[in-house]
Amino acid sequence: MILRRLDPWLSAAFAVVAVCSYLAQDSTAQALDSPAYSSRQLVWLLLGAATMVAVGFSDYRVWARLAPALYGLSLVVLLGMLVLAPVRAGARSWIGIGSFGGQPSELVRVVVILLVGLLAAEHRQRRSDLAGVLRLSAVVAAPMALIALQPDLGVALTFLPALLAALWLGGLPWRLWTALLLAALALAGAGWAWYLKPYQRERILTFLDSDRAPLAAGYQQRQSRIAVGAGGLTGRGLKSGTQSQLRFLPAQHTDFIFAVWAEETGFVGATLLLAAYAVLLIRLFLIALAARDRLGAVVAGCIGAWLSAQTVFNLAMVLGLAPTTGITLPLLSYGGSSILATSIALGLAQSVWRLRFANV
Amino acid sequence: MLPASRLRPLVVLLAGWAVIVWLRLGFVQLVRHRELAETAARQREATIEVEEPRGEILSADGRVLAGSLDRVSVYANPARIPRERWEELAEKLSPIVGLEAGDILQRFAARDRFFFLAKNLDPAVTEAVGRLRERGLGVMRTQRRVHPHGSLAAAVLGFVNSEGVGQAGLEKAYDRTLAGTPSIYRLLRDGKSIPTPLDLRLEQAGRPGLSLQLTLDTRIQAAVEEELSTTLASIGGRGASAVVMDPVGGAVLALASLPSFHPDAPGASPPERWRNRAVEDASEPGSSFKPIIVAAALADGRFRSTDLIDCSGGGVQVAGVFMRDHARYGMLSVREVIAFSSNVGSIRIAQRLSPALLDGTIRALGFGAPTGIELPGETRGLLLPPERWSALSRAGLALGQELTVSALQLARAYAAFANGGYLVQPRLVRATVDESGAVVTPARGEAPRRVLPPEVAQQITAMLAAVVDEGTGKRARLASYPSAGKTGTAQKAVDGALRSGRHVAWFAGFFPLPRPRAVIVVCIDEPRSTYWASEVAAPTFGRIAQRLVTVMGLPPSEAVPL
Repeated sequence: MILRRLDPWLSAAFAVVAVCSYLAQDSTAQALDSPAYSSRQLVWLLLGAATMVAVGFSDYRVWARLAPALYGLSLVVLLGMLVLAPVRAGARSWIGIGSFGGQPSELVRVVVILLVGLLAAEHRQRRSDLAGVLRLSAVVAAPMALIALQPDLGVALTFLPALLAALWLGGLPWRLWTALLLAALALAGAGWAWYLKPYQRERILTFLDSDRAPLAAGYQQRQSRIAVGAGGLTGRGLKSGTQSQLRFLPAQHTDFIFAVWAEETGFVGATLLLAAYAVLLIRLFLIALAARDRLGAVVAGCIGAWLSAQTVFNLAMVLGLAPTTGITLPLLSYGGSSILATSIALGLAQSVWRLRFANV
Repeated sequence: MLPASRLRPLVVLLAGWAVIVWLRLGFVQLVRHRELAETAARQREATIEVEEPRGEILSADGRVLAGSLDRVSVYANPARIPRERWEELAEKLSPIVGLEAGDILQRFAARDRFFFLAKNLDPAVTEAVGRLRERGLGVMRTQRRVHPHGSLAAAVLGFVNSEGVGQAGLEKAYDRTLAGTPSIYRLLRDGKSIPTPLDLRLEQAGRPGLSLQLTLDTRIQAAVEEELSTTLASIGGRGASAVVMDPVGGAVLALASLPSFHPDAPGASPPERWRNRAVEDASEPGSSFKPIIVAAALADGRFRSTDLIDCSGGGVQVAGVFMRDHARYGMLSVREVIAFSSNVGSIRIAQRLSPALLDGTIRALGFGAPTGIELPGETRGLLLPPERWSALSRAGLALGQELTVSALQLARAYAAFANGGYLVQPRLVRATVDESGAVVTPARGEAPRRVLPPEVAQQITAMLAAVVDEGTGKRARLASYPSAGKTGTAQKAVDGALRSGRHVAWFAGFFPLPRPRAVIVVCIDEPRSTYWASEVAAPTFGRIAQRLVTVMGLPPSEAVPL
């Protein structure tokens, strides 16, 4: 069977996460009284699976060659959006016709990873090349800045792990790591002072001091923790989680979808889902190791770093270990663009796996 | 192609993070499960109390004095109603709640959460609101207290506030009995604190309130209130109160306090009208207290009713103060001292009694202590202990000064003369009954207690009969119904000083002799055109007694004095 040429573990993990995703969305759709959420999520998940397979059977090297052009297009689109896109929930991050549309920034991330992979691969073994570092950083920073201006901080932040992974896998020496760290700290300070909105600062302060604002900014995390804790070992049953069904839990179909899952399926269900994520992410790194060329390794590695970081950060947020930042859980949170982008990325990794032997 | 050495630290870093997250998951879900599940339960569950029907207050003759109507309140939660439906909904609601559609829209816009749109509506609106099928709207059961007899006995009944809680009178004193036990429902709440229809279960079934069966008779009450009104209308005065009580059992048949108020809308009258003058107000009893002094003297055996007292031509010097009589009496018998209400005679008697004896009899007859009637705010009256008496105190008490009494206290003391020497416990509530009419609690109150020898009670009764027949109480007389009673005119003390020109006119008595069926005390506060009790209170007593004859079905005396 031809599908066997793809990584079965990655495919299976995707399938498990997708099933959990549909069940969780179906439950929260009931709570939010919007049945369309679960059917749309189902369509996107099926579309995502098809996309992953299709991209898996394409050649990632072809996509990488297209990356510079796609990247240019992405910048144009992002720039245009800052002016033309409608303001939705306070951000110009969505474009479309009627109700059909999406967030281009999700797809831009895949393009950026491809370009970063291309650059890192061309970069070869010149270890202490500051120009190379700056070039990589600039490639990531440009779209990141445009997205941050929309403003969609959650999506913008997910670009960072890919950049760091690319630099690391590209062989950046420790010296430069230190410099980078200092630069990052400076940037974070500047961001705090000029870029972050008061509510975003409040979220971080709330995280650092959970008593600070129990009703406002701390509310989401508190409710999330209550929902997860109320789930216990085996959960309250699908569609029966009182915290989500009675809408105590905010943003439950997006950022806090994991809390719904954890409340309704308990520690057992949550661990099962985490195991599926673990398999999926570990496979990405194993694919990076098995890649036939540097391009494939960097692309798979960056995808792994991005999805791991986003997954872990979202879970940490839901469990009260990280501040609320609007970072979604890949594949589980509601959203077509995000599912599609993730599926394309996984498809690229499948392609790297399928073409891992030089003689194929 | 990629060195594993570069990949491994990355994987280790992420795996470490993943393990921390997983451990945290276990900690939150397993270790803190119980605590967080309780928090969740507290957050989503709330209890609401739904009142059960409040008991009625029924008169002895079976009339409903206070009852409750089922009403409903309509509440709205604009946050739950899609804005595009507001206008349509306001139009449909307008006839249901009796508000202008524009007004409803304004209220929707002004609130963003649960509020009561209209209260006190007919229960029929429940169905109409239900037909709108709008989950931001609902109906809650409430009650409205009604008083079919209007202001009759208002000061006895009291009233309830908008929450249905008794604020005065029996409504206050028996609030918990009347209210019953509310039903407690446990309901789920969502993140916006709105009751949801998801789950609502009865946690504890309530019990309807018990009804009060009073000893009070609406016919007697109405007669008494009418006669007091007539007196106030013809003579003028600040107010009036009266007690009609069964001297043997202590059952209060009427308890009137004027001016009154309408308990349906107590707010329409000034708050001073809410009080029950007969129970909450205390004034000096004046001469109506003289029989108590004489009773003390007779009970002690120091005097007989025929003993002569030197009334020394109309004046007596006590502790350097000269006290006058209204007439220049010479020698009067004890009986005549009461009949003519001689101040000097009364003082002479009191001066020969020890303070302890005097005080003992006064307190034995129930003065200086609340009677224990089932009403809130009862006064105990003012009565100093003998160790604080001055040299003038006995003389003062002999004239019904230096102490204050309520109309009910005076009625209780006179009842002891009427019933042969027993102190009875005045009571208004005959029983509390459930919806089926079964008695749940019988009347409370102490058993009658002997406080005077029977012959003393009889002698005092005879003296009081003489007052009505030939003394100051002539105007209380009913030809075929021999009565006994005593007038009292007291100057009012305002801010601790006696104020001339402000009086309280009393008449306390009972009838028909020889077996009295009713003690009647009338108290007119600050009568205007004339203040003498013999001209103000005594005729009122007579008119009330006359009306009791038919209501109580009293046969005329066989030994009619011709």
